[in-house]
Amino acid sequence: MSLKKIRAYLDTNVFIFGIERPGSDSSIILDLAEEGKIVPVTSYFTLNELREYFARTYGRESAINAIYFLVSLPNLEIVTRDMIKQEINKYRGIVPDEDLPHLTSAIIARVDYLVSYNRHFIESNAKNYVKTIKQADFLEILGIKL
Amino acid sequence: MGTVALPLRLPKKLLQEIDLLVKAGLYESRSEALRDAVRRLIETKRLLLEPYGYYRLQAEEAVLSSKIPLASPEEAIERVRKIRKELWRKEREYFEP
Repeated sequence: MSLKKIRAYLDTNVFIFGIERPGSDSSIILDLAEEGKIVPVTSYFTLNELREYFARTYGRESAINAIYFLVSLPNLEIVTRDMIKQEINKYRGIVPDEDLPHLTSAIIARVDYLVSYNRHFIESNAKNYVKTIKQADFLEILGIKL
Repeated sequence: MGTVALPLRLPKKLLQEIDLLVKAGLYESRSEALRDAVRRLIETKRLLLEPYGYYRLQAEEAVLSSKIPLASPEEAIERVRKIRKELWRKEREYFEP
């Protein structure tokens, strides 16, 4: 019998910190995703933000590589723009509007955790809808880091 | 970087299509059109060819070789927030009730 894999919505900062800072908590989470040990969930907005961040900071080629890396993750689930549109209005007011697509995506995908450094997820009522957690705490739950 | 001349056989019809693109001003020459086609081919197909982990490594190397100093975690979070707000401004109309 195989255990159910943890489903984690990885916010954009997980990918950015994970790529920029090898050995960081975010980088370890990306290792777990690459190894197929968790089910990484992301969204149309994550792809957009990741592309924009890397293109602006390191150039177009690195943005392409970052996106290719993301979409090559095994078991990856991407919540589409259309899926978000259908549900987003149910959750208005919980977090700032610009964070809402990510919260909505995590809820739609029924993830076990939304992993992010974003304080608007950690300190808000978002936790009434989905377990919001910082990178280090996520690793602690997985028993990887104490 | 130098270039290399290649003997190339193409169906006439394909060459005519390329000439149309050149004539329309999209490319300066047949060679330029073909170079662009090859670049696009590589970009779309390499995902299937490259070893696993290649893209992460490439992205990490871009960071390491960058002359831009790595932002502090707080600065990086702030940059992401700025981008998130900008992109949301462009998108939000689509999500209005």
